Parts: sequence; C-alpha cells; structure tokens
Amino acid sequence: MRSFEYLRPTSLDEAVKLMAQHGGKARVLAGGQSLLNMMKLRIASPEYLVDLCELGELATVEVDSRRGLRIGAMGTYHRLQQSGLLTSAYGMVSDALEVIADEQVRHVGTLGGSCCQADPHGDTPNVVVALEAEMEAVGSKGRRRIPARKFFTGLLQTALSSEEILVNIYLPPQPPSTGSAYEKFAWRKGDYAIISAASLISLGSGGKCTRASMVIGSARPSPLVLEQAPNALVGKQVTAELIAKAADAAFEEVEPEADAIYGSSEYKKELVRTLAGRSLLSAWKRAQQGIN
Amino acid sequence: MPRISSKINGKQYTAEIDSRTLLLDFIRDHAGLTGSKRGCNEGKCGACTVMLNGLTVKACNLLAMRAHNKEILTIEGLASEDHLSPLQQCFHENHSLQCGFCTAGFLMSAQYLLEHNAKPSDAEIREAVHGNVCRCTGYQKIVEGIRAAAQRLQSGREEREGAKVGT
Repeated sequence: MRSFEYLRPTSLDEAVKLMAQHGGKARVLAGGQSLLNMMKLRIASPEYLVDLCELGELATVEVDSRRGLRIGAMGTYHRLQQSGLLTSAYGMVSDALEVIADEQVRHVGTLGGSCCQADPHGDTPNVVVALEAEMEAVGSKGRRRIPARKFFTGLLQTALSSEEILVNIYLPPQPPSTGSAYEKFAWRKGDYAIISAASLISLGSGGKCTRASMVIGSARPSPLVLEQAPNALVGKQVTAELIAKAADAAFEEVEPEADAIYGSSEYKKELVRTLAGRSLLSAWKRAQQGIN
Repeated sequence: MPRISSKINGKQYTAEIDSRTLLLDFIRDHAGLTGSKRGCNEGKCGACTVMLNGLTVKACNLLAMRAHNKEILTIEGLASEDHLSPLQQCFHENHSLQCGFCTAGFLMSAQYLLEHNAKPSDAEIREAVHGNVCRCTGYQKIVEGIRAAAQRLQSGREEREGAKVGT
C-alpha cells in the first residue's frame, strides 16, 4: 500500500471541503472492504483518504414517508439486515445481503461503498438499479440526486465527480402486492457473481401483473436493464409457465461477455435463463403475499 | 502520523502509527498479541478475525485507525487466567483443530455466534463460520466443537437457573 494522509472529518461540510480541496487525489473511505484491497495491490493509490466513519447521520437506515427507504451511504450491510425495514417489495435487497461475502465483511461493508466501487460482479448495483433507487450525492457545488440507472457508467466507474460524496440511497416506495428477489450463481457462496438476476413484480386485482422489471448482473460492465423480457408478464395473469417464457425471453435478450475465468457467453446465457426464472418465481411468491 | 488509542482485551494501548497500519498489524506488532493470524491478507480467510465493539471483523482488511476509541477483543481475551473458555475447551476436546493456524479466527466467529444464538443448528453454525477457511479439518470437527460448546453453555445456564429456583 502506498503512503497516504488519513483524514477524518467530523461533519459532512468538512468532508465536502476536504474532497473539494484534494480533488482527484482523494478517495472516500466507507467500509473499505474493496478499497483497502485495491490499495494493497496498488490498483488504487490515493494521496488522501477521507474516512467518513465519524459521520453518524450517514450510517442510519430509516423510512422516509415521501421518498421510501433512506439508506445512509455509510450504513453497513449488517445494520440494514438488522433494520427490519426490508419488506417483500425490497426482498431483493435481503437476498443480496445474504450472499455478499461473509458475516465479518457484512459487519463493515456498506451499501454505499459497494455502489461507488461499481464492480461489474458486485451484487448491490443490480438491486439499486432494479428498484430504481435514487443516489444522493453532495459536492462543493451542492446536492444532487442521480437515478441509479444513470449512476453506473462502466467498469468501476460511476456518475460521481472525483470530489462528490454519495450520502444517501433512496429506495422508492412500492405499490402493495409488490415482491422482488435476487438470485446469483457463484462457485462458492459469498463469491462475486458469475451471473445474477434481480426481478420485481407488482400484482393488481385478480393477480394480474401490473409491472415487472428485471436486471441482469455480471453480464456487462454495468447492471443490464432488460427491455423485452418483462413484457412477457405485464398485463397478464402470472403463472409458472408464463414466468418460464419470461426467462426464455431473458435468455434471448442478454448476450453476456465471455471471460477467461468463468466461462463462455453461451454458458452464462443459460445461467441468465435459470436465474431470471428463479428470481421471478420468488418475486411472484412475495408479491402474492400482498404484504408491502 | 495519526495517533490511536484503543482498548484491547480491556487494556489501553496508545501509539503513533503510520496511516497505512492495518488493525492486524496494530494488534500483532504494537500490542504484541500474536494470536490473531495473517492468512490471506485480503479479507478472505478469516484467520485474523477479532471483535471490534462486539462485532467480528477481519483485522487484515481494516485500517487500525478505524479502531480508535473502540474496544477490541482478540483470542487472548477469551481465556481467563489459566482456564480455557468453554468454547476453547470444547475445541480441545473435540479435536476441532489440526495445525491450529485458523483456530483463533474460528473461535472468534464461534464466540460471536454463541453470544447471539444460544441454540444454533448445524446449518447456522456452518453459516456463522462461512467467513473462515480451514485447510485441515474438513470443518466437521469444528462444527462438532461449536455444537458441544453451545450445549455446555446451555446446561451451565440451566444449572444456574435451577440453583436460583432452589434457593
């Protein structure tokens, strides 16, 4: 690890000033579970590390009546799991938390940090995109909200400028009878995903699907929002057969990138079909429970 | 250089450290407590697991400064005087270790489990030590050791409660 100056602001204003002052030479330290490893490998060598651990207001999780669930960017996976606020509509978040690394890492790692890491094989980018979350950032020019769908811009790249700090992630409120689920495939539990799928289904009266969405992770450098496959469900009475058709449509729609470690595009395409089907079934089951 | 002040196993340690110092280096090199081991140094193997304010963390993947003004519990803090803790005793009796390199980390993860779940199922035990790697035992003996400790702690509680009812 290369030498750096450790900075520990005690207010958000101070943190913003430090980031503005040191610009591209500084990195924000959240949980550090990815960044520290990158620094050990000298893939990242910031001259200044701005540790946000003193900013308690960024570590909380709460229901905001207008904007849904507010997850402070420094809120750990553990805190989110313990919050009791992840209802069936946010079921995909609970699913993802269970398959992120292990308990020790979840005690430290944060949703905000992993979103800013923007690893193509990470879990959290997929769920914030699938839930159409809003990412709230603060910089010296003020505060702005970025739709999650525009936040992930490429391999380890986000829409944040080098001096902006992610402060909150808002998961928007969902209509009743909404369920969501996340499924991933990895060789060992807790590993980075080879392929993952995040699905959401809303049911109207009589069990007809009023809305469906699907995001495939690890297929591309950023979460892939499916345009076609969810149409197999919308406006129709959901059945297991229909879900199998939607999974087939996902298979047709996604062309995953091959890689030397995890396998060919064809192999991953089959994973897309399997995981899309599983996540839709689980989301459907949760939506039927009708508890939002 | 940043100044750190932390309690490790109840004892206060204060030092000027390089900002790059990992919590594991602080524990091993500054406090001289070498029970916590460096395995992979990238937060995978769990040999460096310690508790920070009651939560298990991988000390090799945390800056020491993150422990400033906090309390750390390491493997050296589990035993009292010359007596092994019930969990350590059960590892000993059940052959839950072979080379022993991973053991400190497993004990800390298991300790955390038993503090939060008095009657864990085997599946819960395996989930609790998912973040720790052992290359010798095949894990079965570790699960048996933790299961035995849960039972011993449980019967200890029942005996104490029985004694209370008796008086």
